[in-house]
Amino acid sequence: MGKIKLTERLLGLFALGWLLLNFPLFSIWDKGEFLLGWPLLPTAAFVIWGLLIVALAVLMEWRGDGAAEPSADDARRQLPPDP
Amino acid sequence: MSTALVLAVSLGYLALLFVIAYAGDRRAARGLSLISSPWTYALSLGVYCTAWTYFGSVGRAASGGLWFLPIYLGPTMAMVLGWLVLRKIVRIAKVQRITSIADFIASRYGKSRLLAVSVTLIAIVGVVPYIALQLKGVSAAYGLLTSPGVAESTTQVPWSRDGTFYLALVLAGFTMIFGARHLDTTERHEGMVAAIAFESLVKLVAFLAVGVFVTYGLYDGFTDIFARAQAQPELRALLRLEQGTAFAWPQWFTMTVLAMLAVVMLPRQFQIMVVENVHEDHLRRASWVFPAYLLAINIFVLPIALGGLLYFGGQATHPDNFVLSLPLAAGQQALALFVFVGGLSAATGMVIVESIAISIMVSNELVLPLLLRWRTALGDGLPDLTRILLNIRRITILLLLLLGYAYFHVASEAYALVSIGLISFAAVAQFAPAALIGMYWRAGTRLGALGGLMAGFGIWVYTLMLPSIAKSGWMGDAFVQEGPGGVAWLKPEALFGLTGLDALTHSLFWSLLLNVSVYVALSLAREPSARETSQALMFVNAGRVSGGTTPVFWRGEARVEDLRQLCVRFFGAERAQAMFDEYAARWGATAASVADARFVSFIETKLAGAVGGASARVLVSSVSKEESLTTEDVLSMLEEASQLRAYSRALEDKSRSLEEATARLREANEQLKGLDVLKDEFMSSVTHELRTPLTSIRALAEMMLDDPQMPPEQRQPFIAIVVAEAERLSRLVNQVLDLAKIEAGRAEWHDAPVDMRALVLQAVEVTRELLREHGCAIKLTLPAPDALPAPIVCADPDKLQQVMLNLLANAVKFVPPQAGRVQLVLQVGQDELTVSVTDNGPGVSDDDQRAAFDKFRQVGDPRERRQGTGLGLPISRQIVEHYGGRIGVRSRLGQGATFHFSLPLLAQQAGNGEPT
Repeated sequence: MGKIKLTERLLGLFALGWLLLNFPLFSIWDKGEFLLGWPLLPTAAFVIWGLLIVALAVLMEWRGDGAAEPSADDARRQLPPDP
Repeated sequence: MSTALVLAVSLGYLALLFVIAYAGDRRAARGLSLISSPWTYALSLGVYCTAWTYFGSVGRAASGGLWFLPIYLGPTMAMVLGWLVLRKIVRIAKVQRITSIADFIASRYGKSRLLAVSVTLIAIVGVVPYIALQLKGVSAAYGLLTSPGVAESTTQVPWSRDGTFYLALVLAGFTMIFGARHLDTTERHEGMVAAIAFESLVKLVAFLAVGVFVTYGLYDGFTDIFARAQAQPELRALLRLEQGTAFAWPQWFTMTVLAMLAVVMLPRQFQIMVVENVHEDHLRRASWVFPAYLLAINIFVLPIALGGLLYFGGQATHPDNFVLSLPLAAGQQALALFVFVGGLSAATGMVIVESIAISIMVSNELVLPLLLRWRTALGDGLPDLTRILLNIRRITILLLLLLGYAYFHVASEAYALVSIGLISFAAVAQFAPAALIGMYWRAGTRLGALGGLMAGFGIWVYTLMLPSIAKSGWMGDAFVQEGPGGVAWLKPEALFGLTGLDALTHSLFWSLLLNVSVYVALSLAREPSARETSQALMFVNAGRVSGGTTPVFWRGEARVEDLRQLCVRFFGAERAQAMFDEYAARWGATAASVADARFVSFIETKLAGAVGGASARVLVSSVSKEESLTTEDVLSMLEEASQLRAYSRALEDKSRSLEEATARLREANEQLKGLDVLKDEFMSSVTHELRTPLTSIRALAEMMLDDPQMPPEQRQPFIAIVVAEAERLSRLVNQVLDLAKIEAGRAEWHDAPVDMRALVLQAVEVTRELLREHGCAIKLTLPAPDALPAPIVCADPDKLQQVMLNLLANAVKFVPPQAGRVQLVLQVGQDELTVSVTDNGPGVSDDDQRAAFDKFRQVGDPRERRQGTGLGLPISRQIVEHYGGRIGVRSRLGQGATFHFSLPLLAQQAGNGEPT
C-alpha cells in the first residue's frame, strides 16, 4: 500500500513541477520587479526548483513504514542470481 | 601564467584521477567497494555537467538570461520519476546484464543486432560534436590562461601544432587506462566511477569558488550585482524572459523535455546511471542529490554572467570564458588555475565516460558480431577473443577522440558551445520512444523500433545536422533558405510550413512525432517474433517481479563441453571453471553436467555481461542446436512457469504442515515410550511385591501341611505370619486399585469435617508398634487442643489417615535402626494447615526428590529399599491434591528428609470434595 502511495505522490510532484515551471504559471513571475533586492523571475525559478528538490528528498528519504536504510553491506550485493 | 605551470597542474590532476580510479579498482577486486555508498553514486551522476556547464552556461546566460536553466530543470524532472522509471531500467539491466544503451534497446526487441548497430551509429554521430565541444572549451580556457589577449583562431593552426590535438591524444590515453584494461563479466568499472564522483566534487567546488569570488569579491553580493544590472537596459532584459520579444514558451518546454530525455539516453549517463549502478536502492538518494547538485552548480551562473558583462563593459571578451577572465582580470591567478582545473575536470569526466560507453557499444554490437560471423565462416581460426575485444575498444576510444578533434578543427567555429550540445541531445533523444515506450508497452516490436529510430534520426539529420553544417560554411545553404530544389514546404527549418519555432524546437517536434508515430504504426502492423515476445514480457514485467526465477525461453540441444570451451575462450580457464562451479553450487552437480535450457541461459547471461546480449545470443546459438520457438510456445512456457510457481508454493506449504505433524507425532511417540518403560517397571515391581508374600504364605502353609504333628507353639507364629502376609497382599492389591480409581476419577470420597489434630494422634497410635520395633523415637509438635484457628479440614478421614500412615511408615523405613528419630509437626496457618514428618535417615537426593512422587518409583538405594510398592507417595499426592493441597519433600543427602503436605482449612474450602 505504501508503495502505491509513493508512486502516486511522485507522479503528482512530476505534474506539479511541469505546471509550475512552464507557461502559464511560470510567466506570473515574469515582471521586472524586485523583492528585497532580488529580481523576481530568477529568484522564483530557483526557489521553486529548490522546493521541488526538497519535496522529492522528503518523499524519497522518509519511509513511513520504518524500513531500515540499506547499509553498505547491502549495497555490496551486486547482481541478482542468474535465471 | 606560464604554460609549464598549467601543464604541470593539469597532468597532475589527471594523474590524481587515475590514482583514485586505480585504488577503486583494486579495492573492488578485494571486495571492498569504494562506491558502495549512495552518495558516490549520486555524485557520479554529476558527469552530466561538462565543459558546457562550465563555460557554456555562463555564455548562454550572458546573451539569453534564464535560458541556461531548462537544461538542468529537465534532469530534475527526470529524477522525480527516477524511483519509478529508472529503477525499472536498472532492474532490467541487472537481470539481463545490459552493457550499454544499445544493448538495452536491442535486448528489448528480441536481442536484435540490427537495432544495436543502428543505436551505436546514431550514438557516435551524436556524441562526436559533444566531444568537440569539450575540446573547444578546454583549449579556449587553456589559451586564455597561457596567452591572454591572443584571439583564438584554431582553424589557422595546422593540427600537428595544435595543442588541442595533443590534448585529444592525452585524453584518449587516459580513457584507455580507465576503461579498457580488462574484460569483465559485468562491464563495471568501479575505479572509474570513484574518479568521476571525485571530479564532480572538484567541479562543484571550483565553480562555487569563482561564483563566490565574483559575487562577494568583485561586487557586494547578489543584490549589488542585480541592482547594477537593473541600471542598464540590456542587462535588465536578462533578468526577464520576455526580453522584448514574444517569449518562446514552446522552446522553453521543449528544451526541458529534451534535457529530461537526454539525461537517461546519453551513452555516458546510461553507463553511469544504469550499468555502473551497484544497488538499485542508491537511486533513492540519487533522486534528490543529483538535482540538488545541479541547483548548486547553477546558483552563481547568472551573477557571474552579469558580473562579467558589467566588468568588461564593451570589451570583446567571450562570455563563455567569464569564469576565467574575471579572476584573471582581478589578479587572482590561483583561483583562475583552480577554475581551469574544474573545467578540465568537467571535460575529462565527460570524455572518459562517453568514450568508454561508445567503445563498449562498438566492440559488442558492431565489431564482435562481424568477427563471429567471419569466424564461423573461417572455422575456429580466431584465437584469444578477449584480447581482440580490448584492442577494439582502445582503437575505438582513440578514433572517437580523433573524430572529435576533427569536428572541432573543422566545424565548431560557427557555433556557440551550447548549440552544439543541444544538437547532440536531439540525436540521442531519438532513442527515447523505443527505450521508454518499450518498457511499458508489450506490443512494441523490433520493426516498429527500427522504423521509428530511422525516421526520427532522418528528420534530425535533415532539420538540424545539415543546416548546422551549412551554416558553418561547409555546404551551400541554399537548401536551407529556400528548401531543396526550391520546394518551400520542405525547408529544413520550416517543414510543412511550420514557422514560428526555433530550429531546435522545430526539429525535435518533427523528429519525435515521426519517431513515435512510425514506432506505433509498425508495431501494430506485424506480429512480433517469439523471441521479441519473450523479451518484451521480461522487460515490461520487470518492475513487478523482483527476484524469483524468470522462465527460460529456450529449446534445443547443447553440449556442456562446447559451452565450456566458449567460456574458456572469453574468460580464461580459471574464470570459466569458477562460473561452472557457481552453477553447480546453486543447482547441484548433476544439473551442471546437463546442458539444459537453464544452463544455457545461465551461460548466455554471463556472456552478455561481457559482450552484450546480441553477441552472446549469437555465440551460444553457434555452439548449440536450437529449435525455433513460436509465440505459442513462448506463451505456454510462461503459463507453465507461473503454474509451476503456484504448485511449488502449494508444495512448500504442504511440506511445512507435514513437518509440523511429524514433529508432533515424534513427541507423542517419545511420551508413549516413556510411559511404556514406566509400565514395565511397575509390572516387574508389582509382580515381585505380590509374589513375595505369596511365597511366604505358600511356604509356611506347605510346612504346616507336611507336618500335622507340629506343636501349637510353633504353628501359631506361622499362622500369624500367613495372616500378616495375606493382609499385606490384600493391602497391596487395594492400593493398586485405589490409585487406579483415583486416577480414573472413580474413587469414592466421603468428606466430613476432620480434626487434623485428632487424626494425627490416631495415626501415631497406629504406628506406635512399628516405631517401637525399630527403636525409633517420635516427637510431636501439635497446636493446643483449643487453639484457633482450629485445624479442621473437610476431607475423607480414611484417605487422610492413609496419607499420614504412608508418611510415617516411610519415615520409619528409612531411619537407622535403633537410632531413629522422627519429628511430626502440625502447623496451622491463615488459610491452610501443614503437616510435616521429618526423619534422620539418609536423605533424598535432588534427582530422587523430583521422582519421589512419580508412580512406581522407589527412591533411595535399592539395597536399602524396604518392602513397598512405590505407590504410597503417588497415592498420597493424588489424595492431597484432590483436596486442593500440596505435598512435597525437603531433603539433603545425609541430612534426613522432611515430607510435608498442606491442606486448606475448612472455612476456605470451596466445594473441593466432590463425591462421585
